[in-house]
Amino acid sequence: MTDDVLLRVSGVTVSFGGAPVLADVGLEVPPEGFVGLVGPNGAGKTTLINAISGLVRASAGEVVHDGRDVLPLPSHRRAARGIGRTFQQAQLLDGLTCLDNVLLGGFAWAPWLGWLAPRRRAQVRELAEQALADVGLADLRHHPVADLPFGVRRRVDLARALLMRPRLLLLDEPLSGLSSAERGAMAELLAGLPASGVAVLMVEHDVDWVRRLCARVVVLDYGVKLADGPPSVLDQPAVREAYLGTAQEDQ
Amino acid sequence: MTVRRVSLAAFAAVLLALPFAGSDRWLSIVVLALFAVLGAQALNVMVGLVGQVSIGNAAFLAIGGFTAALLDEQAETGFVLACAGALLAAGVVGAVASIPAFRLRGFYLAVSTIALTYAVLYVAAEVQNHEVGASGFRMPYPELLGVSLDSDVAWYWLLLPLAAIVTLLFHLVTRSSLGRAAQTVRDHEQIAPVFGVSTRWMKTAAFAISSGIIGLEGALMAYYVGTVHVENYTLLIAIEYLAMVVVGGLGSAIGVALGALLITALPFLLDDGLRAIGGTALSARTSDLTLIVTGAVIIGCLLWLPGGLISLPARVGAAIARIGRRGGKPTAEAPADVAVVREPAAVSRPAAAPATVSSAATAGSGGDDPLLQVTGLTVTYPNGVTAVRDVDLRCPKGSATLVVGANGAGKTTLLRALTGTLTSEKIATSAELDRYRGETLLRRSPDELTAAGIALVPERTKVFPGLTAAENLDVVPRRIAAGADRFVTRDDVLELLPRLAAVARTDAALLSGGEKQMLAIGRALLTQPRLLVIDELSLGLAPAIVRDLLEKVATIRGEFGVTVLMVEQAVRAALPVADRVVMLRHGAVVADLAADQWTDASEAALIGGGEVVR
Ligand SMILES: Nc1ncnc2c1ncn2[C@@H]1O[C@H](COP(=O)(O)OP(=O)(O)OP(=O)(O)O)[C@@H](O)[C@H]1O
Ligand SMILES: [Mg+2]
Repeated sequence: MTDDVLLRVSGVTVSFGGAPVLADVGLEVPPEGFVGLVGPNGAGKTTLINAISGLVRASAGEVVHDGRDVLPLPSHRRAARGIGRTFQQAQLLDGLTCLDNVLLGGFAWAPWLGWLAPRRRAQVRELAEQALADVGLADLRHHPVADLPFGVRRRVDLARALLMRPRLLLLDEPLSGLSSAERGAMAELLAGLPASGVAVLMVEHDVDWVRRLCARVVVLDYGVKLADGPPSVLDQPAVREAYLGTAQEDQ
Repeated sequence: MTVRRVSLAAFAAVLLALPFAGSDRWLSIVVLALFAVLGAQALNVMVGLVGQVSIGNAAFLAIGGFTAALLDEQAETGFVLACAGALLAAGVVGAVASIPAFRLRGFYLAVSTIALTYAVLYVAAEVQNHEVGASGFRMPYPELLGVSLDSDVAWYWLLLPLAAIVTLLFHLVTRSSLGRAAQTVRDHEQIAPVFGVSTRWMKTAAFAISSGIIGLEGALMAYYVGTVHVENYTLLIAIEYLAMVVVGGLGSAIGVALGALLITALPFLLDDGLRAIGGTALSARTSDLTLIVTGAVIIGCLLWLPGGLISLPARVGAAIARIGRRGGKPTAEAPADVAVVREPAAVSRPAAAPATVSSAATAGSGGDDPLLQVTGLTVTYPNGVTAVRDVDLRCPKGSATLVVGANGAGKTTLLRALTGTLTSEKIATSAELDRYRGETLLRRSPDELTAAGIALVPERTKVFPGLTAAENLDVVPRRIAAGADRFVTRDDVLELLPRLAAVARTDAALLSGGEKQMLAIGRALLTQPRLLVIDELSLGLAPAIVRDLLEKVATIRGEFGVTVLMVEQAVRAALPVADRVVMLRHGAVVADLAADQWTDASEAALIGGGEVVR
């Protein structure tokens, strides 16, 4: 059982004072899996990602990553164990260039590089440039991120997460703010991740792409899991009602 | 780059020549300045690099001074061990002092370092009274490697390499991966752990290293001055060091070194100057005047050189480039896509430049009377990038215009230029004609424009953090002129966006991404806009909500004649709401057509142009 599961979340509960934002939520991501996480605004999707990556403390439950419960670990130790993530609003260092921002991703596995080990440093840099090229931003590597459009910033965010060389990548709405052409390119990149050994848990509101990319979809509805299964669960009446709106006749 | 190298080399040459060529007075000033460099570099690690504001320098200087005095005087350890002990003691206290920083930030943290200063000074006073009494400790002339440190020249040769090494080390650290991690703790503390950065470790290390070096400085200073007395350590010292860091350039080791040199030398320079011009009449008051002028220089730096001395070359360069652009014949030299000054418009311009899509007749729907008319709008950012190029836009009353294009096509800049949120002297905005209800929009403040009925749902900063969601909505109606008809009520907003009712009492900063977007839209609607400008309505919203909102936009447009200008990536979804579609590419309009003429070919053209930015 543990063999074909990279991440197993079970019974996770999170509350910020009031009613729980997540109540007893569970899901599984296989290695080389691509799992979608959808639900209405405020359902707790980002909170679940925060709980897995350690930015938010879960009051109960287990998050087993690679055979070990990581809930007791602080966030930076989880990063070192191969959990990477992006943010719904790309959080970048505005004073730095795209490349410098991406390089931060290398800290998780090569924290002491600098003037100490020039060869390793060059290697990290090469990987960072590759990650930027992968997200289609090779030309902008020396451009400061401060004045970049929203959609470009989030690609820098993704490149940074990729440089972490994660085994599990948590993506918070990677396609939002992108034009349809850019979505296609980004989706192609994402689709290739599992084959390269990166399992993905993706929050996304673009249902078309969720259907196409995800092998499995989990639907959250205000803190509770509504459905979990192949993308066709999106067609269940309860899911339509809660998420897509009842009058949905679908693209 | 080479200019910088050359000036650095020249600077180093002057420093090295100083003991041989300079006057005694200048040598002693430079020795003081080198002490300052050491302390300022240390403070910069904490404040500039990791973002932990500290006013505790005096405490660590005192710890260093007193530890050295006790070790050398009482334990007779000698110079080197006394200094090492001072470094260690201050470092340990610094590490302990970092514990409040796990919870406190900014102002509160600064206050905790002031408290630390008083606690340390209290203990120091007790020690001093107990050991030596009111006169304070006397320090012997130290000896290092057989050389007696009894002259400024000797101190100079000890301090110069020390200051240079510390500066170089921190300069390298700043640019290393460790430095980037530190900056992440400074700028985005919440997310730093996601990249394997332990914020506690980072803060403790910064405090310990910084305090240790300041302790070392305190010990050396004690030997140099020859006495250790508790009254020599005041909060004023800490403020002075902060000034060095800020004037030099927060976070830049080279800048901080310059700042320390300048702030130390400035009073002496002024003193000389005042004596020279004022003679005896002024010289009686020089110390007062010097203080005032020094203060003025610091304030001036903060106001006009917020990046610090280190940013001066870049600022000067930019200014020269600006003047050059204004003066010369820029359009001829600059490549077409970064042209800054637009050619004076020819008498007639094709309605839509190289249109890849069948350009349609210009007949707008919804009447001839434009609520908004823009002709030849060009926006250039300070870095020379022209984000919007010669854009014409005509929005008849009650019309809905959809602006589409790839990321970086200039959509957001266009909307911001029209809603006043681009107002900044450094951003060049120009238009031959821009009219909103007969008046110009350019260079008017966002609040004026809001009062005039223009509302923006911005792409990025959407809500007022610190206010609840409900308070965010309540902010708005007070800005609306009493006479304006209110066609959107708070109840309407809550009915349309029921989620907002559920989170009404949550701090807006904590809302989910979609909830923030809802709040921004609700707030914009509540301003009862005549012109509603939306930058990506669908951003982060669940499909059902997007549909409801688009319907609402159609309704208020139909019923109340609100004019809509929206940027939207979900073109298909927004199309039914719009009657015109304007396509931007590299800042220019490449198509302007009626919504019902939007075809698969137009979509293909949009996608075809959808490569990367700028
Ligand atoms: N730190 C916090 N304190 C209080 N409430 C919070 C906090 N963080 C999140 N919430 C609330 O928890 C709920 C779930 O938020 P979350 O960000 O997980 O939603 P989401 O599913 O990601 O929504 P969206 O699709 O809009 O991004 C929201 O109502 C939000 O207001
Ligand atoms: Mg979210």
